[in-house]
Amino acid sequence: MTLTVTTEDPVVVEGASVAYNGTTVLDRLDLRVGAGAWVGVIGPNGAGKTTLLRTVIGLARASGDVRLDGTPIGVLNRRRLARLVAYVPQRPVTPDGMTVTDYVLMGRTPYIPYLGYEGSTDLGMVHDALERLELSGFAQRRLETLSGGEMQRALLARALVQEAPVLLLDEPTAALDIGHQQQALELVDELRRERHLTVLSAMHDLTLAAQFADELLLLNGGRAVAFGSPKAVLTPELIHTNFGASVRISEDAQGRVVVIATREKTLP
Amino acid sequence: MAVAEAVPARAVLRPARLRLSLVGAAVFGLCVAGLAGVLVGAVRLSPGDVLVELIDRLPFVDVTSGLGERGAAILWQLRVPRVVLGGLVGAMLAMAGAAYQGAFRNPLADPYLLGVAAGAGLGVTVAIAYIPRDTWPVDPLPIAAFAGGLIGVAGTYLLGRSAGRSRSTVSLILAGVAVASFLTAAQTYVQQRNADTVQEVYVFILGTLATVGWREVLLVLPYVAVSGIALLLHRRLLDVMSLGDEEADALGINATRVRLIIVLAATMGTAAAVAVSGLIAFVGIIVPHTIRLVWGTSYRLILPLSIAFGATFLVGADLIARTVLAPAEIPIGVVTAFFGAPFFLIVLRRARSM
Repeated sequence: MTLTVTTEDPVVVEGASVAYNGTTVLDRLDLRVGAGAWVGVIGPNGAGKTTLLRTVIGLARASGDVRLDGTPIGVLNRRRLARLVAYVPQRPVTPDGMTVTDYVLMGRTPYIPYLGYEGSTDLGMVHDALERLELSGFAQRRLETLSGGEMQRALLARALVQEAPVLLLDEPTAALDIGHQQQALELVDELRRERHLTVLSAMHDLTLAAQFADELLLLNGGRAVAFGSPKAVLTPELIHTNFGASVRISEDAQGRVVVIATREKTLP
Repeated sequence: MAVAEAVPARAVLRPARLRLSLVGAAVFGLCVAGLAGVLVGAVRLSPGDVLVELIDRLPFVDVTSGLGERGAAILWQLRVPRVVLGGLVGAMLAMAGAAYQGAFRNPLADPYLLGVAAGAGLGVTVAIAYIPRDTWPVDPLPIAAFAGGLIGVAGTYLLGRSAGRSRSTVSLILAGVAVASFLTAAQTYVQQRNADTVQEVYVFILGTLATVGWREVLLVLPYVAVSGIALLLHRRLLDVMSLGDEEADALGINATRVRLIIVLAATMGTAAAVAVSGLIAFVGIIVPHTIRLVWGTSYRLILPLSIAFGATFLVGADLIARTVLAPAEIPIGVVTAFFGAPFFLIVLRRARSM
């Protein structure tokens, strides 16, 4: 009897390219995300951050290789894919009138038979996720009555009950104020440690990316420009070349990178 | 911040589900409408006798009503099949409307506005004009209507997608208006060319239940049953579809395939309904949206309730159609449009802010 032990990283992308109508949006990209790691994907607008996430979950048709836990995603059907990767889109659709309970319950979809219905296990998980994300008091609230921060927690609750080892976040803080941005990312970090999640997130704010991710992937024009620790990737030179921005790099009390935008133009 | 619940929250979790009391109320409403439909008609039958006659048909009950042979024939061969067919068609159109709204994520979708009804009407007209009846083992009308309805909805969907890259709510409906106009024009042309053979089509455009009997009931029943069961089975998936294709896909649903199945099922049932009752508009708008406004937006409520409320609505509309100008009848499609068009404007106003 042979026993196959997969020692491969949860997310492996090799030579992935994506083109829409002849325009290359992802160009021969390689990426490995180790178990339990948090990789932040940064880059200017249109760099291919969202496309990379969509490639990992099979929503973007890519040439090249994408493997989850060693299995090529091409051989996985949608259900099995959804059990391996939970996807939190940047602008989630929030159907009018849907309650938080029903919304979070959607995360159980990959476990419920095609024409079947949720059982007590599913409801129990929804209950636990709501409790964990301090949403118990919101269970019967309609989505349109939630604030941005509450909606973000509902999204995370939905991703949690999906029980997928990999969490993909597309600009998870785009709609939040500075306080809620920090709270949301702290929450992701706590959940990652509690549940040994592997996180791949596209991020706009370079400082937040540096402070929360273990490693950063800098994309530009669909190509990987740099990959490594925040200190290695977030240099004034790389940021100037790829974002056209002038910045100063500083450190917070824990020695984590802080990116400060500066204005070059001198006023008369 | 969230307040921790003192009671075990598991008891507080209430996903959208059908409550038994609501089902009971809906069925009761349907019974009232059905009874009214049976009691009222062009020929006056004593309500007491009608009730006794109905009770007589219950198992193990044997009573004699004073209706007489002629009265009993009017009751059993005209009124009861008409009420039953009105219920079937109303339930089907309401369910189909809800299903199209879910599948296309478009609150304005309706069998009539998507061109399904017009396509089915064309199919029926072509079948009456060119296919000799009795040469087929099964009645070709529902099948021709199904084919026409599929052409209608496919044309609308493709046209709506190519017209509005943004997938706006209104572009699908505008495409539906264009497709419906075209198919209605084609239908009128076929009808005029074959004016001698297709007089029966004339009443069709406005929709009517005036000329029906048990034959029509038996004709639509299998199609409506299969379509209705298929749609009911997909009620949870319609909720997942409301998150949009991308999120539904990411949750393990093949959104494109689910949409195809739902549209096929809804179109088959709609086509069969159109084949016997003509083009009855707005049922698929009024009924599901009323349910949404009052009881909730989950398809787990909307689809089952659409059966009862759709049936009640159309039986009631038919009652109005044959009593307002009695002894003359107005087409039932006129009645539904009279209520439906203003309702549509309300939905349109709400949809703009969506």
